[in-house]
Amino acid sequence: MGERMTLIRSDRYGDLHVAEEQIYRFEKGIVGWQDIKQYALIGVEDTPFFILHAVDEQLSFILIPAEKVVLDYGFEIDDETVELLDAKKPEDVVIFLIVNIIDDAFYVNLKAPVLLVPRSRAGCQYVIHDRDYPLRFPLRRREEAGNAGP
Amino acid sequence: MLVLRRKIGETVMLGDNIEVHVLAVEGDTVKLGFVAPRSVQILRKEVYDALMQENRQAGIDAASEGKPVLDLLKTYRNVKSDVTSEEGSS
Repeated sequence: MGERMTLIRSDRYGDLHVAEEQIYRFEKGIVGWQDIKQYALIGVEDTPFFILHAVDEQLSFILIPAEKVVLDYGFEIDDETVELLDAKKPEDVVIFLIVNIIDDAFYVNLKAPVLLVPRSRAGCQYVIHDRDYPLRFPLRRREEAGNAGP
Repeated sequence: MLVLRRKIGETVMLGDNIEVHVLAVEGDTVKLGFVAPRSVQILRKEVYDALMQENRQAGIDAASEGKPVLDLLKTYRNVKSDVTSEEGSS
C-alpha cells in the first residue's frame, strides 16, 4: 500500500494501473518512435504474453519471453548496450520478442529483441549483428504440431 | 544534400555531440566510426528500414482497428521452435 501507481488510459486495453517497477526507460526509444522513452510492462493474464505500453502515448507492443518460444537463441550484447542498460551480469538481462499478429497468425522478431533489465528498469530494442536471425519468424501453434491443446 | 571531402583520420561533426570518423577506405567501401550520445540509435539504413517496417506493423497505435487482441492471445498455445542458425551447417 502507498505505492505510487501510474495510470495509463489505453484506448485499446482500457485503464492500466502500473507500479513504478513496471516502468522501463528506453533511452534510444524504439525504431519508428525514437522519441518515446517510457514504457510499462504488463502481463496478460492466463497467457505467456506481455503488453509493452507507452506511458504517455497510445502505442503498444505485444511481447513474449524468448525462452517461451525458441530454443538455442543466443547472441552477444555489445558493450555500449550493456552500459546503456546498466547490466552487471548476463542474468540481469531479460529477453523478450516483439509479436506481430498478421491475419491471426503469430510471428516474432528474432532479429531485434527487446532487452529489459528489471534492476535498473532500463530497456532497449537490440539489433543482433553477430547472428543471422529473421525479422519475422512464424510461431507454431500446438494444433499445428499435431497435439491439440486441452 | 551537403557534400564534404574528408581524408582518412578526419572527422565530421553533426551538431554538438555526434562525431563521424573516416577510418579507412578500401576499394569502394568506406569504414566509418561514430561517437554519439547513448540516446542515438545508429543503424545501417537497410536494417533501419526493415526494422521500422516490422515495428510499424507490430506496434499497435490508436489508429489501428479494434480487433479483440486479448481474446486472440488467450487462444494461443505455443510450442517451442528450434531456431539454431544454419550458418554452421555443412
